[in-house]
Amino acid sequence: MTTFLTIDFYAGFACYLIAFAAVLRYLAKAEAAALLVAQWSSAAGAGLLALAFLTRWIEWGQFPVSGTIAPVLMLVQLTTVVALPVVLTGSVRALLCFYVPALSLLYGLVVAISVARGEAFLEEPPSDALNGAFLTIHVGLAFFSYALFLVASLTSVAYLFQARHLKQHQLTQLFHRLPPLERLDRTLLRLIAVGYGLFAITLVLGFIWAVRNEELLDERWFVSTKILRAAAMVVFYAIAFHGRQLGWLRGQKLAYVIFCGFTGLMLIYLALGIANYSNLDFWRASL
Amino acid sequence: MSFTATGINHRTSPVELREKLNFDAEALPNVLQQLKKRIGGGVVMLSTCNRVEVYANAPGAADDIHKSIREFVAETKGISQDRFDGMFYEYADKDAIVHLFRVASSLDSLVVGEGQILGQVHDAYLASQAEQATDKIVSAAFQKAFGVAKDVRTNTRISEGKVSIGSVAVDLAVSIFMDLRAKTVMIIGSGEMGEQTLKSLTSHGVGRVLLVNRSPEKAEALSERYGGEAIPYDQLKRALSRADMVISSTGADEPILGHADFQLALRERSQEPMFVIDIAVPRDIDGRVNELDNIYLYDIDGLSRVSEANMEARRNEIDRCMKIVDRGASQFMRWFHGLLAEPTIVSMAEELNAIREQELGKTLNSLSGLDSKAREEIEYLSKRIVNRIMQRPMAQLKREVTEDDPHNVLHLVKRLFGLQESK
Repeated sequence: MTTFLTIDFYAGFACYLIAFAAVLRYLAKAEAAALLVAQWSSAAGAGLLALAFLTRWIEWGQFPVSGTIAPVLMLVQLTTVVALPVVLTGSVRALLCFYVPALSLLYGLVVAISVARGEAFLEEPPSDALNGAFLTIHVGLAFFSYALFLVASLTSVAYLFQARHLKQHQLTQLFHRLPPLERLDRTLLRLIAVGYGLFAITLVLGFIWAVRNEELLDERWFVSTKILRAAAMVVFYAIAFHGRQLGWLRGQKLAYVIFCGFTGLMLIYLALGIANYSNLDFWRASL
Repeated sequence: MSFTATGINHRTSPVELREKLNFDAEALPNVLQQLKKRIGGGVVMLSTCNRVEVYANAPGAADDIHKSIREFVAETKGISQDRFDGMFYEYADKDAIVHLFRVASSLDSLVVGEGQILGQVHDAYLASQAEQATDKIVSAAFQKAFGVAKDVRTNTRISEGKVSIGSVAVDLAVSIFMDLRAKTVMIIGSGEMGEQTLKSLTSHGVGRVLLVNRSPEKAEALSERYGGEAIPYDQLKRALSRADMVISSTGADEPILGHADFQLALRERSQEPMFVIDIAVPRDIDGRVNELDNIYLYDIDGLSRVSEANMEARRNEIDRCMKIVDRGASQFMRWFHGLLAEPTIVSMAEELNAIREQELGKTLNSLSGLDSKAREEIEYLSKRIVNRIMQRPMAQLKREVTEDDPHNVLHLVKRLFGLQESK
């Protein structure tokens, strides 16, 4: 099983690299076929990752996310699952020029960590105490929300690219192949609306689970870094979503807020992770 | 048989002559029938404001076909051939195919990369087909031309970015708004360019038109023409928030709309984007308006810069397009030359089979004691020997004729085997 997962892990990365190379070729040569290659390669990469997670789920008998590598890979997989329908629904494959490089970069980061550790996608299952359908739904929904937020963030980059070119009267070939600003704005709104809704549900589910399983948690779990960063995220998207609906956060301003906000929150996550403060004051010390 | 392209275009002839030589759609069926009768092969006539061309596949030398077409055009239009002496271009075989593919791909157009020509080539082909004036070669050439043109448009940037001011405005509008039918355009003033831009936008289905003019009569006149709503000039600023697009082309000496006017309009529209085109000189709209979020302001220089950049980008793509055209033409010529070899191969097979039957007859006559099974075996053997002998030269001949000049090879084979002219 280990050999299979290792092959699957690197084959998935190869798919994303092919997709990335195809995007670069499209940017250089404007060949529509290159985007088709990017689309199918990233779909194949996501498929291979799904296979890996399914295999691990069967192997462990519980939701297959633990450690540092698997969460990032799950984010890459789910983001591809969210991004491909966005691209296909509007027949705007050129948006892959914004999605694929970011996903390839994330996957590349994971590969670099794996190579440094001398193992690929091989982490221990989480504690049995964290097993169960309730928590599986909670974690699954959280990852899906993050995927929606990541696609929204990359779509906002596309929006800023288009708006900037329009403002400066410099229209490149990529500009001509991207969807209208209005479509990007609506896509952005839909992504944050669904992501925000799902994330709010995730937090409610997490809260219910926490109240039922308080013996597993620290006494101050509700002010732990884990809860505070989740609260920060939901507040941020609440402001973005309702601000857009009320009309005072729109267009470039909204795109900047979505991009900078998501990047900022992710950097905070990363910094807490590096400092080993991700779950500070959340779990009971004995767990 | 020769495939030819004969004609004039915007580069080789003045518009006065092209007007005279133009064939309108009504006259085309009759013209095609006459032309087909005259040259005795498949023919397509492409007649647009920028070109009059005849594509033909007919027996005889290419020079004779060109001459017949020139004479036909002169006679039909009642013009002496001296009038267009030296203006007709004449292409044969691969050059003619390359020309057809260039025309269909819009590489030979006045505005390189424009999309109209492909439709015109398609219509010309359909008109000819309706009159049964095409043949297998002409049909294949045009089908291939459509494929090459599609390939060029899909895989290069030749058709990206518009070049006329009106179409640049439409292009910019569709890169901001999803559906122009749901949008409102406001035109201020009645300048010619402003009206042309409005025409371009309305032809792309803009939903609603607001017309503002100092003169109520002019506003009413425009309103009747475009079916819009006339708005008194003093109501301009109040109505500004209703417009998704604004085209301004007044003769005012100073800006008539400023930063604060658009700021207010944006607030009233809940920051929904606005596309503003200022074609007036001196400008009607304060340039600082472009600094506002969700407003995209283009003055005449901005539009011209986009147009020029698009034109330059198209010019830079021509080499890449020509590679696709050349590849398509080579593929077509391989198929075309392969067809040329077929009659020679048939003649060769007939000649060898005639020899086989003659010699078989002699042999069977001299072996009178053979039963019917043995006779069949010998006949089968003779056929097998001829087929084996034919196999390699046939395959080689098909390969050889795909080269640029197949006629030498075919003549050589005919001489070697003493073959009659191809059937």
